[in-house]
Amino acid sequence: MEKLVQALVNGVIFGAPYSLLALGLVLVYKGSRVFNFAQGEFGTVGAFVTLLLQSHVPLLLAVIGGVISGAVMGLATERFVVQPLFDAPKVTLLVATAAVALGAIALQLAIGDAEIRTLRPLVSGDAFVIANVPVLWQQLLIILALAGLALVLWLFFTRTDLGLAVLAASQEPTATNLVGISVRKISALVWGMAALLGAVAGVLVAPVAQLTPGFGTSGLLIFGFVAAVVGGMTSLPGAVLGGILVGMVQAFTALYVQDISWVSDQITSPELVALFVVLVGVLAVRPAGLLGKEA
Amino acid sequence: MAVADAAIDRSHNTSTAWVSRGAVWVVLALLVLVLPLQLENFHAQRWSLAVIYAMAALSLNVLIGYAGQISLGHQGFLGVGAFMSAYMVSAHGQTFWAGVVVAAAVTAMASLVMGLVALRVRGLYLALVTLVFGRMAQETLFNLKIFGKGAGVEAPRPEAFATDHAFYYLCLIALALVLYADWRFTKSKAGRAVTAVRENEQVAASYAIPVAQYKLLAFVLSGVFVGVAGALYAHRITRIEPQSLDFPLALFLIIVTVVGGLRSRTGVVVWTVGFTLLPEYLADTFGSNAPFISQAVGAALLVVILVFYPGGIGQLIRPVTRWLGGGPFKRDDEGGFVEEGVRGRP
Repeated sequence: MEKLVQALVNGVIFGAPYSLLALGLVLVYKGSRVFNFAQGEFGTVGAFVTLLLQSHVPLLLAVIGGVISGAVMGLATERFVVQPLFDAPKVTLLVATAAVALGAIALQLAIGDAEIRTLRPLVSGDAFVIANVPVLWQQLLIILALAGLALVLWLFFTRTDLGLAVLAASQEPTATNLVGISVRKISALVWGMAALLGAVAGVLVAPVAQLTPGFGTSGLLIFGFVAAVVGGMTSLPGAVLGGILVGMVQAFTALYVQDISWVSDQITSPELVALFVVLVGVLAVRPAGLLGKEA
Repeated sequence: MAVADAAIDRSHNTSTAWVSRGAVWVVLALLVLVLPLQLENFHAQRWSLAVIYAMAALSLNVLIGYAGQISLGHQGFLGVGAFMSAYMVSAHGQTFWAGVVVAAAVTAMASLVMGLVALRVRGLYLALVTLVFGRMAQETLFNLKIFGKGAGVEAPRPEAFATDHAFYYLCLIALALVLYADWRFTKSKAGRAVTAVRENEQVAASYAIPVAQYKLLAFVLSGVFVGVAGALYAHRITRIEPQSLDFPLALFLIIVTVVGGLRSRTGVVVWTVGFTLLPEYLADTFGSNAPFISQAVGAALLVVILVFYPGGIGQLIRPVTRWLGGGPFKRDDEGGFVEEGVRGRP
């Protein structure tokens, strides 16, 4: 029983960062049908800017600076990479965003070589202990941020005209332009919001992870994508659900499968095998993801 | 208008033009075949790697360019070939040649299985499945007990091609075979069928093209190419380890394929070789700042090429390749995208 609670708690802790990242990925996909490979780097850049600022200004200001820098990077990506390639095949856009990520990693390498750093957490120490699993304040903060941002996004899309305009632009760009909504401006807005989400994920996760150049891409991005796709690439609640699900798969494999001696004797990282099976399984049964629909 | 121009302008077909064409061909041949002999071993090593990557990129070109299926886990397939060949040679005492054949066969089979997934999971969703497959291959498959649990497998070179220079020529021969197979494929009924399936499955099916079979065929062909590349990859450094088959390698492969120019053999090969060698030689020049410079230059170059030449390097150098093939030296008039490529909607 305790083991089960442990796995569930760990699942949420592991999964919350993936959900945050997946929200940004889904937002961009809704807005411009692009798989954005730069999403992880919006976070890493934010974290690195925070790192540079934190010795000069109060930590909270440094974090805000980091988030803003990530958002600015997102807007720049939209303006200089996505806009010019508006009519290009989707794989070209995918490659272009990957190039943005590679360039960002190169910049981080230039600033802070390959050294492993840690960012100071906003709030340090343990919040509480459940079933012998200590939950850090920072981890709780990530979960709260996820819940808050998901709520804000939900309100944005269901209660505001601007949210409706974003949905319209994603479904029928030509008609949207005709009724006087600028699809280009909407695209910039969506990328800015997504980058903001990515940057929040980066600055919040970096203190509980190892901050190395490209950590957002190598550590988070793949799982964020799995979360987004399993949840349904067009569904924001799906992104949150998918992230938690991916976290659960990792936590349960770590607690229940890793210890089987045959498994640990034969293979390493069984959680990736489990994740692959879950991904293919979900897509085989529901090709549009758990909560996804064509919209 | 274009017809009239072609009727008047015959300057590309004069004997002078053919002499200069021949001269360029000779220079190219010298560059590829003779220059490495004059250079030290490590240059030949680098050039072999570039040629091997070119084969892997051509394999990816079959999938993305011809069949319209995105693979983000191609390093996984490269690794399957590499580990199978190394395993056959070092654990079963087979010859290198048997290793290559087994590598090609097993990789083709693995690729076929991915093709079966692709029959149901489409577009960017498939890209994600391959992405996770690649990551899993690197961290789990290649760490299996029979593959040394992460320690890697020895992969000695065949005796006749033991030196770095000889191995380079072996890679060149393999690349030539892959290019020939690719060329014949695109000229065959199967090649046209795969193109038709990429453009529109319903229309293809209405012309009695068995859609699923041709999709799977593309996966098998791609698997054979990358399997051979993988075997050479392992034996080049005489030892294969899982760490080298990471996600950045998959990104590298997809980048060189797309920037090289989908469906442009020359573009893909030229750019893969260029993009492999450029960072290495930049590193020689700039020393410690090399990783930053090569990556930053690479990324910037990438965006610039994609924005101004969406058809990639293949589009950029088409006047030259057309001229070398006996045609006139002029740009494509249509500009922009040659064809609509992989569609976004899954």
